[in-house]
Amino acid sequence: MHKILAIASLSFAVTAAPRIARAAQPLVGDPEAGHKTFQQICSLCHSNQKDTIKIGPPLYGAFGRQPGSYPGFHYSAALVNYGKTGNTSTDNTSGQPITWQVANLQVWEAGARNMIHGTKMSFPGLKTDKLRNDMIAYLQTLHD
Amino acid sequence: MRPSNVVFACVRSGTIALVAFAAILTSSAVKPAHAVPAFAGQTGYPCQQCHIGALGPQLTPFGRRFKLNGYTLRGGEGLASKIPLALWAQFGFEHYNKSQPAAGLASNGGGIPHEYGTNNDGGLDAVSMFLAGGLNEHVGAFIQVTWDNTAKQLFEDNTDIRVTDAVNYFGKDAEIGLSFNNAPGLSDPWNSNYVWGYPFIGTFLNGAISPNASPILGGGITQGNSYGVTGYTLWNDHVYVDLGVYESQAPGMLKLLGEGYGPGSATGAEPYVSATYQWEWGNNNIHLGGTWFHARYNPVSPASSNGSDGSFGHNTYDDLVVDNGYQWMGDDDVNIFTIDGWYDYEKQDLKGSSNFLAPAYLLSSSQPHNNLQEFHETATYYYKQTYGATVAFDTIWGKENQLLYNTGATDGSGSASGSPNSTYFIVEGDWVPFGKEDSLFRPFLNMKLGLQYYIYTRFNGAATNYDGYGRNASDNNTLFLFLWTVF
Repeated sequence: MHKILAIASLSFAVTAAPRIARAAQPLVGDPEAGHKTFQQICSLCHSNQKDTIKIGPPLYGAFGRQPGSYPGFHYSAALVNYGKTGNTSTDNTSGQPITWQVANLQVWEAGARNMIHGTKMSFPGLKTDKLRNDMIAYLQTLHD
Repeated sequence: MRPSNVVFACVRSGTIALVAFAAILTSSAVKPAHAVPAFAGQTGYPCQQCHIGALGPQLTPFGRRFKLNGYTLRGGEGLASKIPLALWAQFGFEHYNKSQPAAGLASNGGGIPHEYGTNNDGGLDAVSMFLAGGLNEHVGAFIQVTWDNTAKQLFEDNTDIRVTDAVNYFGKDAEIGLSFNNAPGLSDPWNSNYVWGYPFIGTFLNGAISPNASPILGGGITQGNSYGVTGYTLWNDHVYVDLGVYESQAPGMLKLLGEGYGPGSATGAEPYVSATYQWEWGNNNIHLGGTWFHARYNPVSPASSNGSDGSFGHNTYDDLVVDNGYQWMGDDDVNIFTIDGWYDYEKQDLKGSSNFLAPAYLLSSSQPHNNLQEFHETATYYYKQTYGATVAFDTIWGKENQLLYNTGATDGSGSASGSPNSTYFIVEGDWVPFGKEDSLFRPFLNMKLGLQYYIYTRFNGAATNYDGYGRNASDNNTLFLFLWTVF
């Protein structure tokens, strides 16, 4: 009986976890190479572990997350607003909440401040398409 | 003053042409710059991404990570990303509070380079060429060769060849690597040791006068008389360990190049152990580390066929160093503040140099057991990675040793008391107009204009009449105006 209750509780906990909208997209690059890029560059400011905030929010679960929405991290108003309404030039929406996907991540990773003026992320960007796509592929693997 | 040497070789390999030069240098007092535009071209990032003050050479957290990953990160495009070469030149003007004694002139057999006088000299100090970059995703190098324009000699400078990988062990990400280099401490990524610590610039000009005592890591062992390998890892962004061994250059190589041993010829492998813990929160990062280095030498002997002689005993050095550092990389690089420093305790067992049964040319120490300690701390502030100010404090102290320190020199470098104790401050102001994301002709145009002032409160054992010939510590206060150009 206790085992059944424990299993039921665990199942409830899993299903009760925040749902992350994640499009079923094929990997756009090499996630192993992206992991190395993460170690060389992104890990200075971001963690790939759940619930670990560094200078930036954790990248675990970032793919499919609404921009500016990780609880407990103090985002710029610019990025929060972007998450709420999108940007028609990068997201093809009309003022609806958006999530990080391949298309907008490719622009973001090329230079965050060129995409969203006023964002706190000062890193000048990953310099090549391959680096960006590999990094996105790695992000696509960082989920439950 | 450090002897140094270089090997002559010419190798062409793949897309990288490697050229090294051979030369002999008898003394070198400068620490040439090592901010390298070739890296900026290779990565596509501006110099400020890796360097404090957009030219450094202090490293940002990103710069340390670039070094630990073996200089292999790429991302740059165009011609700049394909040329692993860079050139650095230093111009300087130096003024002593009181002119050096005439005995220091080269014409009188002193240490002042030819063509220079006892005060107020200036000109081209030095030029360095760098071969720097990644060969592939695992192998990279930073190789520097420097021309001392005051002594008219070429010498091997910082050399660091790395093989690295990003891995995962004990459930956490880590970097691992091997560093083949030519000085203990050169593999270290922080600016809190003798190799990479402040002052980042000195001058070849008027190089006769400087404190006559320095722990072996800060003066005896040089990039020219040593070589070694270390294996390192940075685990989970927190724990750094670096283990290695060093050796003296072989007698044949030193003879071929007419170079000296420095502290002597190593009797075996010299172990080097270093460990550091770093942690970060927000825009702050702190590190605290320790290093142990052990070296055993046969003393230098002019009468020996191989230049060293251990038949009357050996000299042993043990250094224990504690280093520290703090960086505030705040508010979009508008205001950056750093602190770096170290404390070194060196135990010296100079049996080889204090044996009174030995020939006179081997006798250079009054007693076998000595110690030397040094405390060094630096604070730097940069505004918009362009305007910098630095204050440093250094004090050296240890056991008196008449034979070792009281040389009787009349050129201002002696110590009448036989004491090694010296204390000084350095203040510096810098202007670095380039090296940013939007700088003109990035990454090829880089410069630093600076003004540095040494203030000695104690020199070679005393504040007044330290050499027995009436020279005071404050007479050696030095104003140094310099210009770095790197492209």
